[in-house]
Amino acid sequence: MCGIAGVARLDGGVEPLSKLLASLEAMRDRGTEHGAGMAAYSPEPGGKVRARVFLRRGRDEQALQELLERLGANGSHVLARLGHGVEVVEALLNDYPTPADLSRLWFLQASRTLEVWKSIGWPREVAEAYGLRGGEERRVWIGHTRYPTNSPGFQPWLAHPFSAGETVIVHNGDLSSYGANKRLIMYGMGLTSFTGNDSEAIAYIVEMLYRDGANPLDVVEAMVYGRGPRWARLDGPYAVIYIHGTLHGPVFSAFVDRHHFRPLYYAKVGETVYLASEAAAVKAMDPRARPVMLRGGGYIVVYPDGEMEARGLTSWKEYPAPQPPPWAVDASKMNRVELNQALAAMLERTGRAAAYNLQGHRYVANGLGPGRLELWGVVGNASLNLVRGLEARIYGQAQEDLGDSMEDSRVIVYGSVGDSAGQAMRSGELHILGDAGNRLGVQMKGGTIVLRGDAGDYLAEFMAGGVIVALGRVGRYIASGMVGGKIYVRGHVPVSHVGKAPPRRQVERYIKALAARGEISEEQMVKALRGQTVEELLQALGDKFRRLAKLWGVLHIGYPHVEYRYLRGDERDELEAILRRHVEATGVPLDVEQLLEEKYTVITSVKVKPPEGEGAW
Amino acid sequence: MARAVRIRLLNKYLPPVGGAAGPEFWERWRIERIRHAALHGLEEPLYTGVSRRGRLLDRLEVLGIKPEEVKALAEKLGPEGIDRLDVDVGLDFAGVKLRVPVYLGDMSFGALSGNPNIALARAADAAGAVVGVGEGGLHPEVAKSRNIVIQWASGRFGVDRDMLRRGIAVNIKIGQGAKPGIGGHLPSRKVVGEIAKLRRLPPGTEALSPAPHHDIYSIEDLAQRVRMLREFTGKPVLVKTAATNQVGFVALGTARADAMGIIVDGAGAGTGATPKIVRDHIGIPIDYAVPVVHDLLVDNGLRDGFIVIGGGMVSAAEDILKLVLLGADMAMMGTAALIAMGCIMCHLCNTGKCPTALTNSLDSPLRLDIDWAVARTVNWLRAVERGLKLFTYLLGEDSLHKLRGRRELLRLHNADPEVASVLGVELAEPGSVAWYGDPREEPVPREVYAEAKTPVLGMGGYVPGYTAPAERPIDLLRIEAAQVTRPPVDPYREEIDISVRLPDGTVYEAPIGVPCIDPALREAAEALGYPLDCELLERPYAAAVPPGSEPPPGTTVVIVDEELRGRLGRSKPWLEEWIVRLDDGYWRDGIRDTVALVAAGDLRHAADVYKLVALGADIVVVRRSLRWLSRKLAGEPYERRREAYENTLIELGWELRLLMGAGGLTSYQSLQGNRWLLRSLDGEVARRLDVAVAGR
Repeated sequence: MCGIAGVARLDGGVEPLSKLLASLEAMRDRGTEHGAGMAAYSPEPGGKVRARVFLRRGRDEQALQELLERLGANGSHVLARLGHGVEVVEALLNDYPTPADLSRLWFLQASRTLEVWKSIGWPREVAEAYGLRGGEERRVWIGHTRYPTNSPGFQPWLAHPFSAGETVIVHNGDLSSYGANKRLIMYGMGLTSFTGNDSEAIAYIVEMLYRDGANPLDVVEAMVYGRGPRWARLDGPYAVIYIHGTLHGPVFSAFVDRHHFRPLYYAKVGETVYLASEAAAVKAMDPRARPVMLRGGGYIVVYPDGEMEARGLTSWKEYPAPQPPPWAVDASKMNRVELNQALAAMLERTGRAAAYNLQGHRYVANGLGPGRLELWGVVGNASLNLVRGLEARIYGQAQEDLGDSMEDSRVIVYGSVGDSAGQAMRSGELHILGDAGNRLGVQMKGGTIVLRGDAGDYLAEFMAGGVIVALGRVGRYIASGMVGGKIYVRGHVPVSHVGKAPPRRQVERYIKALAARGEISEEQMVKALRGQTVEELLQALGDKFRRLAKLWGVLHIGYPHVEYRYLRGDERDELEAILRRHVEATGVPLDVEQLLEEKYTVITSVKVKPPEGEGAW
Repeated sequence: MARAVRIRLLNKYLPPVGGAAGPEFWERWRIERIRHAALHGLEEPLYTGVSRRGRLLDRLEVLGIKPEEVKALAEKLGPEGIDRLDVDVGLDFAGVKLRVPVYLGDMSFGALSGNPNIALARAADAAGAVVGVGEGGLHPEVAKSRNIVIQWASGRFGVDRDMLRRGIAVNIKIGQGAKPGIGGHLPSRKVVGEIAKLRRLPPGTEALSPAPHHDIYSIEDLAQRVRMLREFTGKPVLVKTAATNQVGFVALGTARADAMGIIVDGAGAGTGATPKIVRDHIGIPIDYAVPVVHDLLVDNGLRDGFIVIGGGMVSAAEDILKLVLLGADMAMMGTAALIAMGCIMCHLCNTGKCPTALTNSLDSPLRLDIDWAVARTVNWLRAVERGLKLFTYLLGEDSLHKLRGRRELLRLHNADPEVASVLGVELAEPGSVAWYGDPREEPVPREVYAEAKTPVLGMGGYVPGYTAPAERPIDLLRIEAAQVTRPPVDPYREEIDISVRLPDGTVYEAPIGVPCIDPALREAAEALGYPLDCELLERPYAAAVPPGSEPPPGTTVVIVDEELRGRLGRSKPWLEEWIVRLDDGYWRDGIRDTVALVAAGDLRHAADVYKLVALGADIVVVRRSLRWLSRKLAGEPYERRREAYENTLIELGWELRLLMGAGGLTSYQSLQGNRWLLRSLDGEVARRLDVAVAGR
């Protein structure tokens, strides 16, 4: 669910809330009026536990009274009145509340170092409900705008951020592991009451790991990679940003699920780090920002002393852009409908259209064409879908789902594209000069894609036709489910990164068992154990491979055929034509002669049908 | 040399098979009822009264309607008389006034062989229904009809910008009731000629649609697509999902995205091809889902103007009436329409060899007579319309719409209070949804042990413990599938780790335990790295106990073996119940991560493994099917036995991955103890196994 954002200073300085709010507002399409919230690192000066609870008038007074009598330091006050008889009461406590307290009252927080504000409403409405005007300054902020997934939308305690002790998180996604995670915190932390919101479990697990002595990298290892306490691994889509407060400063961290099911963009400007679910929302915090993607399984950690560590960031590549023509429209003054109407009208009248200052506008130019289109800025999700006969240039970057089902069009992006670009592309050309996210060319049916930068995982999944040329590095699981078409990847790709294979451990165990039974010779075994590709295994094992093939699964429609080699004559011609067209189209030079001399990993689909079972059953 | 093929036109009903080849909702009498309607314009019987078993729809009594009265009135009025009743059972659908609240299910050109697609579209126009075209492009003849809904599905087969604008609405297909969390699949032998061309696939390849839309991994992504398609086409957008645990919230999210409505497809729905294990165990039936969706929408102020369409084993006007009373606006019918066009329920859809020319491959010489099929389908839709008119009239209303959500008119028979409260229907008398018996199924189909193939079948409705007797309580549990809120994962393309690490560090490749009953089986299990029950028992600090007995303190490998309690096997507590109790106990004692909990018993398939692991076991020993297989193979040479066992074990692993992937799980770690993934059709089973009732 939702859109998330975060901002942190590395040098101990502060940033205003207004930046965070601007980012959340830029992601209005990701949210609803059903909840929003913010949190910040803000140590309680007296070292007390700052507790905030939702007080439902007529229901919770007694529980609060008893809590204050037992733990209260010096009274309490109403922080905000949220309407419908619900107030947020703040009190300082001498110690953390017990699990029993947590089951009696809805806490926003009970922390020595954090502050949390949340409620029903859009982000700015929530800030206003608490009297926050945007000028408030803190070292670290995180925020959330909510699209409810698995719970109702009218209870303020279901809004994010969720806090547990000194940890506060915002989450975009939906955990399939929730039931398992919940048991860990139920029994591990003695909790008996839950909101039922899966995101809450993340806060508790992070807090639990820190209490058990974990460091920020351990948290990632345990939650993303499952190398930690059992039941701490998260499954399903998630992008998480969290703050863990210590008395020496905040840990500010973010991580994304290994499949990159949820996006997160990052930028660093001076001593400030920005994170948001959309590139445009990063730029909303600082127009100078150059947002890059955090890839699947990647993370960012900012330590209390301002040191930073990251893994899985794409790189920023900039190409000189021409000035927009004087007749181009300023997209920042329009919503997406107005922008699309303007573009359609221009195309119809003159066959040319141009717009600048795009700020993540969605659905740009969907279904348009023929004509020429030029765009400057950040092109939002699901743009240039279903275009036909369009010649489009994007000077800047494009977010998720660019060019779905495009036909007979030429799209050039002078920057990076998000996930699933060129999905189900039918024909035409897609030229990307920066990096691409996951699943570039998924289910591509025809046409060509040229990528100069790096690709994420699942490149060309389910590809059925066309050609993809990748000149940079590529991720894992390339071409799984490929039934047609051709992929050229410049340089060597480990074959284990092509398609999907059964666990290596199991394959080896099985080969050894074949040898132990004397079905294959010792020599064959050694050769097979060295074998990387299906073809090498086939060569080593002969018809015994039929047995092993079952581990790949029969619905698997063929193993991609992989060769690392110099280009053959016809391929040279094909690639040369594509690259020359690419240079001509983009105007950005490439040493085509040199590229044609290099070695490529050439991937095509081959249908290797497992032979029918022998004998009659 | 190619032989000249003589095209044969099919224009008559063949004798039905339904119900003969295993448990089947579409029994002969249901087929005969539809055929009667298709021939005579009136269903016979129109109203069957209350049944003590079967679907909740069958156990629901409509107050004020008696079978005899319905029969008498229908005979008195006759079809023409019913037509003259001043009762409106239609509704406004995307600007078109429908005469009958029926959405003819999304069957693609490809799944059906062209002529049936044309017949359905023409019949929908003629009878005032609406038809979804499915994923596979728009057949040029179908495009000439008006009441068609275009599908936007994960494979994007046949999608282009003109085609999207051709219907009266667009339907984003997220999932379907027959295979929640599994992508579309048109077997390669049907991907030929025009079908391959429209789908832009090389002929003879499997047409697989990804399990998720790769641009829809969450509810905000769905909202994004709904808005995009609405702005793009200028037409209203529907969303179709399978009925799963979170179906109510999915409907809320869909309504918030300004969709026109949601199609909720319940368990047991038909399809051209689905893995059997998925069809039988994933998703919840439509009668549990509709009232939940309706209530949540009402509570959140989103019910007005939003259309809820319920599907999945909807067979007749009386089913539609009950769905409307539970809160639906419309029904989706697919299988019933095929039956009206001659389907005999032989389950050969995935082979392309349909004897009734409905789902046969394009290169086969048999063709459906379009005019005959249109006439039958129109007649049948008229019959449904007449049935609904009669019911509405008997209930004293002039419009079916006024009956929507009127659950005070319903009484639920022979169910538990918990289920009744999910439905929001008063209980007539307490009873139990669960009923037990022998479902007469072969534990290991031939394709499993001979070829290591996942059994795939077409059509038919089967939900154990609901449309057919359950064998054991665990059969009443339904498995979660990911719909909208998170993406399902395709085990054939993405990694799903089912390996198990025991507390002592031993790693097995699967949580599927194997009984030591045949040396050939042992060898197969060892080569694959599956645990053997006898070896588990030989480990230090291992003990086997019957359900109901506490293992000795300090035991670190606990094998709960239901055979240890001897002949009186079925008495309390159940194996599954004892696993839950022990698991909870170890958690409470803070030693759960030091104990390996093994469930051993009369267990059959990957769904048993999934459910018991989710309930709390670490390893599940599958005895029944492997024993059956060892008897079947007795006398075969050693090598052949070993290979058959190996095939079966590998296949069990794939089926487990399929079930996990459907729910968006990529690791065994997220499955173990995750009772959130299970829902029970029965209140008592829910209570004793600590899972929620379906719909909660």
